[in-house]
Amino acid sequence: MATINLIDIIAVLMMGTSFAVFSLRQYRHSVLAYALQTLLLVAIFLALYDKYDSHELLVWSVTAFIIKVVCVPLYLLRLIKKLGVVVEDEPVGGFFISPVVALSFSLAVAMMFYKVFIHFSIFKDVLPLFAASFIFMMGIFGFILRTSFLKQILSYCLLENGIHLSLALMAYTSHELVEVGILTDAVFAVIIMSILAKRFYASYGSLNTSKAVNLRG
Amino acid sequence: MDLLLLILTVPFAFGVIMFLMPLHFKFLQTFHILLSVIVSSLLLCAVGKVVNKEVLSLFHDFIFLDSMGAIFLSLIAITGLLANVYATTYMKWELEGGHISLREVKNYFALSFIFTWTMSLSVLCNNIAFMWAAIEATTLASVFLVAVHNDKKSTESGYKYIVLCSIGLAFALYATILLYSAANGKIDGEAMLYTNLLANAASLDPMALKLVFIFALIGFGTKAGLAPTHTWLPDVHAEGPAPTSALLSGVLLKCAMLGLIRYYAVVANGVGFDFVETIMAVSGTLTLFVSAFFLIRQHNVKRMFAYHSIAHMGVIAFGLGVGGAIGLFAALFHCAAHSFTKALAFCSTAISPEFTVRKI
Repeated sequence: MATINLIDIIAVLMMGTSFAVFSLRQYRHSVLAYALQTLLLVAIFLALYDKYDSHELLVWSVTAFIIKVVCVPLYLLRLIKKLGVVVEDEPVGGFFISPVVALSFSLAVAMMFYKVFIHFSIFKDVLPLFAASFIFMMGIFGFILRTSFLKQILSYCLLENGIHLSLALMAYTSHELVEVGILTDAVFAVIIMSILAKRFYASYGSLNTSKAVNLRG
Repeated sequence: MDLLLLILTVPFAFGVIMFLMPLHFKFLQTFHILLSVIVSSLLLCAVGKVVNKEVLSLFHDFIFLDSMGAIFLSLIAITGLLANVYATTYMKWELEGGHISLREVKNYFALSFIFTWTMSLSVLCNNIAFMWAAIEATTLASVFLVAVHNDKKSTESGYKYIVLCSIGLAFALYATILLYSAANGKIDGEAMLYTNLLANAASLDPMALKLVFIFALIGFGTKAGLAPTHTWLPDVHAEGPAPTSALLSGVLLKCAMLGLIRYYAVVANGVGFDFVETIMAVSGTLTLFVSAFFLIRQHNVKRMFAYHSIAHMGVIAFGLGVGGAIGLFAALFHCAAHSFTKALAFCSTAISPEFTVRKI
């Protein structure tokens, strides 16, 4: 019973941290919120392993900890330091409206998705399934509403965490190479986006992607 | 050594070798052509075996080559080789014009092998999740084939490419996870394998399959350039070097379409052809009209060709919408025809250093 509660609590905390990653204005704080969320993701893997004795998730938690809790946040913090940026530019709709829009729409979409997913999920835990869809949608809205390139990289990381949690709940029994392939893609995507962010900053003197209007038409 | 294993290792190894080569253009040029010929020969050998009705599979069917895959693998081999050979001359002009450094040329050649490797992997994967990973990897491998220069436009095109394709493909991954969880425990054997899913599609939940197809259409449709998520394509095709545009339009879009066709087949076997045909017909028609509307307003030649590529992807989608033997044949035939003609069209935008068509 204690484990069941723990999984639900971690799921809610993950949702809270995804909101923090989206909303916090200082890049450094956002990255730290992301690291915390991924730590919670590792914790939920371990809790699921404990509850269902799914050995695969123990391996997943180790790889996720090394790559996503340690390496990716350190890489992003290094990028922030290198660029010398502190606070992001004003997003679409302002700093107050955009989190409210993202939160409400993500909750609405997650409410639709989890009811479908729970029919087919291997683990029938309601809150983690809901949290997975919610985090995924927060990532999508991060791309739409936040105009900072760095925030969009963090949104990709959020989106990827949502998918990773869905994968653990719905398809952890799949071939082990699947997780390796998806995780490798995610890491390379972050690295490539970071290189492009550096180039972007060098070209535009800012990370504001709304300035990228040379190719419209 | 197994032919599929060679295809899985050789292009990647060639990419790494090319990264390590000395900075001497004549040598790089000759070496690039030589390695491209070897890679394409390997791919065509595999296609030849499928034509002779041999079944190619590896790692307990994790990797396989069926007749559908063979069509797309032959496009990678033929269009890929021609674009790579053209790239050597194009890069010579860029180098002579001072638009690019020798190191950037070497990196371009190396990345083109990694790109070929990811595209071949996406065609050969029987495991649908790994196929997704390979299609996502095609984006990652080709970002710096597009954003070759360090200027504003190049960076902007690279940014739009990776962001839009990554978001779109995330939906395709959800489709993959949902399909697996709907099939897990209900079908015999591994529920991630396309061949198993296809054989047992009738026993899967119809509602789940419908949702899977819609997610797959958003995901792979984004990468294949279907409206309304086609917006990355004109910017990327127009801004990249001509041989990159040829590869993207001629081969990459088709690899994404193959991913969608795999889902089309599974869902059609599960819920009937009416559902998938209707959706593909609507998607194809919408894509045709949207691309035609934007096409007539363009003056930049490469942007026109890019919108034209979108229109042709609409034609292919419409072919799948018509369905039946004739519709499917038309769609696959058009994949091949468009691959060759559009690659040639993009290459013809720069046929000499003095004659580089930008606007008409």
